[in-house]
Amino acid sequence: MRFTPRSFAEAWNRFFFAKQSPVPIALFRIIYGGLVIATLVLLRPDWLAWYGTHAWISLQTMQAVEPGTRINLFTIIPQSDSWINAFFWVFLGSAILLTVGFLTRINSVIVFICLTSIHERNLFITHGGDTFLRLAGFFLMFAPGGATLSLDRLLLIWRGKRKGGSERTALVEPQRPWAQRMIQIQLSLLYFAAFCTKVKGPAWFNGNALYYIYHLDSLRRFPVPAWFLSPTMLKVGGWSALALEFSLGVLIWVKDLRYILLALGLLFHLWLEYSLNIALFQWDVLSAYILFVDPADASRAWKWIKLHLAGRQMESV
Amino acid sequence: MEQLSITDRYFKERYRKFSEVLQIDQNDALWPDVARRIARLNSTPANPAKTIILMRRWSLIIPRPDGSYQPEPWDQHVLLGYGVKPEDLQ
Repeated sequence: MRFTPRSFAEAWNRFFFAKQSPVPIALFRIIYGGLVIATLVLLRPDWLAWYGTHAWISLQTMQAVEPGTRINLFTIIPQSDSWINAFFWVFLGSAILLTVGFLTRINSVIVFICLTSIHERNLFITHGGDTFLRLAGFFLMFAPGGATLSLDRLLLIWRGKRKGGSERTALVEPQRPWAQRMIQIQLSLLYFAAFCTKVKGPAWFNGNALYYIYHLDSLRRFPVPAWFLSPTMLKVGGWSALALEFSLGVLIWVKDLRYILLALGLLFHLWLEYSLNIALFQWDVLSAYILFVDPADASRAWKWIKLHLAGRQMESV
Repeated sequence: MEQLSITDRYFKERYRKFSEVLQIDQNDALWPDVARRIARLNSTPANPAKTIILMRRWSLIIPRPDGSYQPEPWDQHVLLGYGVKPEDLQ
């Protein structure tokens, strides 16, 4: 294939603007909302300890160490614990509505502003997964997240029927995926940045990095088998993690490699979730995998599952 | 963290992250706030905290060729000594 400015422009337009099924972004919206809810529930015992008037870090100190204009509702709302609690209940309510897809656009904006606010109020307790959720939340505001699998859509169908509307209201309209593409790019950048950060230091090259990580008592979660802690396995594991992060950052865009890389990435994150105690990080990252699944492939897989289940039911009858 | 149950550890993981950040010298601007909160949490009207000392404790992890792990001795270093003022406890 010859590469010309025209072919580049066409490929660009196809990638960002050729309409496709909104099912992947709708599924992402549901998972994303669930993760924001989980974040708030895990933080619930410490809402005031981290963000209250007598928090570990005061609002004044936070503003001094991170100056400049920032999206932070804590600088606007009155500084009393009841107001701060109210903020969190509104945030939680909005995240639930976003998950079920009711007033999706408005709630995606509220969730983004509230999520950014809690990060800006205390940046020192956030991890990469939180940052990814915040960035994905920005693009989700512009995405057709409520176009399907949502209460918004059910209401649209219901209103259409009441008005004697046509069958058109029941069809899921294809949508421009540019916002979904931006979240996908964000995920690949996350992996590539992780790879670049790791190769800067000697520990990942000489294979000792995992030795340090798995001997940190405060990070440990469930017990790992002894063979995994052998020097050879830890070295191989470290180098494999580097190779996988590079691949998920760069080679994920090669269609033929995509599903195998997603499967390896899934196993990698499930292993980290089992062995290391980093709340929600793995799920935050995995949430965007759904965006890399081709809607046609997902539809074929769904039909296969339905056929398989129907076959089983027939057998049991 | 190590003394918490698996569930509590998941809920309180932000404290691990926070303590990791606090130990970095560039984040010394955070230390007085932390000292004030510790003072408030550990004071009663009859027995107010007077001094808070933040300490960093560490033990090196040294990889050995045979993969065995020998815990190294613990070391410690004072990050901040903070004299608590009456207004800190309000």
